[in-house]
Amino acid sequence: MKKNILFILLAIAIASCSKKDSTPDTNLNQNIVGGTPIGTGSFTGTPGHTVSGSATWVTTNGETKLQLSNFSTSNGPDLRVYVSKDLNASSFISLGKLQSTSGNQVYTIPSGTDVKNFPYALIWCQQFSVLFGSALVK
Amino acid sequence: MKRRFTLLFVLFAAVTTFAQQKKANLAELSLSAGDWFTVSASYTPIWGLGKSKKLKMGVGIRLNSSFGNNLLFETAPAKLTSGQTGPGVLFAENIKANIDTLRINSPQVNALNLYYTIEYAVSKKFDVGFNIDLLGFSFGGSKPATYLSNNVGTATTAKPTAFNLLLISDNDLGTLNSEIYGRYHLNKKIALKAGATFIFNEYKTTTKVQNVAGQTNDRFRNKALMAMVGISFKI
Repeated sequence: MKKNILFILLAIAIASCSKKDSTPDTNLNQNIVGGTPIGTGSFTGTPGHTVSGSATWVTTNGETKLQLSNFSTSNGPDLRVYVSKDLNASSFISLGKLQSTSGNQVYTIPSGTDVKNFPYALIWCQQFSVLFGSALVK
Repeated sequence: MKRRFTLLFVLFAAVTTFAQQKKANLAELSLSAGDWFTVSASYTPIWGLGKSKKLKMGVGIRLNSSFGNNLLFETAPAKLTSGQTGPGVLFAENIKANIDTLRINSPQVNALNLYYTIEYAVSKKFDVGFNIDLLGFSFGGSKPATYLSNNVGTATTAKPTAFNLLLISDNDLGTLNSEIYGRYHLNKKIALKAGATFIFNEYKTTTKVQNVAGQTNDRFRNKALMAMVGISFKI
C-alpha cells in the first residue's frame, strides 16, 4: 500500500513538473510581412531530439528578425532560441523562450547585433545546457 | 582576518587541550554523487572527550576531487549576492539583480583542505557525525566557460579559485566540503559510513567578466547537496 501511494505521488510530481517546464505545442502562424531575407538555413536535430524547419534572417524597418518556418521540435524543459557563434553556445544571444514546438514563429534580434557574428540558430535547453537542434544561417 | 585566525586557533587548541588518552587515527574514503561526482580521501586524528568518550573531535586533512558535466556557477562574493559581508549574510535575501551565471561544460576541481570533525557515539557500533573544511588550497586545469548575463553568453576561461577559507555563508572563499553522516563499525578497524555531502566548488574567470553597480567580479560558485557513502579505517 505504502509503495502504491509513493508511486502515485511520484507520478503526480513528475507530471506536474514536466507540464510546468515544457514549451506550449500550439501550432503558431507568425510571419514577417515584407522585409528582406539576408540568410537562411535548415534545422537538424541532435541525437535523441527531432528538430526540423528553416531559420531565416529578415531585415525589416531597420530591425533584424529571425523567422522560423514550418518549424517543429521535440519538447523539453526550458527551451530557448539562441543565435550563437558555435554549436556549443559558448558565445550567444538569447532571443527568449521558444514560443511553441511547432509552426511559424518570429523573434527579434537585439539592435546593434551583427548577425554575421552569430551564424547559428540554436534550440537550446537552458536548464540542462543541452542542444536540441541547430541551423547554420548563411 | 586576525579574528578569523584566532577563531581557528581556538578551535584547534580546544581539540588538542581536550585530548585524552583515547585517540584514534582515521583514514577515510568517501564517494558523493549528485550534480558532481566527488571523491574525498581524508586522514584525521580524533579524540574522545569527557569520561564516556562518546563525544569525539578532530582536525585532519582532506583531499576532494570533483568532476561535473554542464554545470552552472553563480556570482560568489557576498557583497554582491547579499549586499554585505558581515554575519548578517547568513540571513540576508539574495539580490537577484546582482547574480550572474558561469557555465562550464566539464568542470573539475581538486581541493586540499584542513577540516574539522565532530562525532557522537550513539552506541558501540554506531556514530553520527559532521565535518567541514576550514581552509586550504584548490587546483585544477583552466576550462572554457560561458559567462551568462542579460540573455547574452560570452566565451571566457576559468580556473578553480586557489585559496579556500571557511567564513560565513557566501563570505566563504574557494572550494569547501562538508559531510553529515552515520557510521557503522563492522569491526574494530573498519567502518562504513553514509550520509550527505554539501560542497561549494568555486571557479575564477581569467578576467573580471561581471560588472554590476560599479563592482567587478571574477568568482563564481556552485553549491551541491549530494548523497555520500564511505569507508573508514582505524589506523
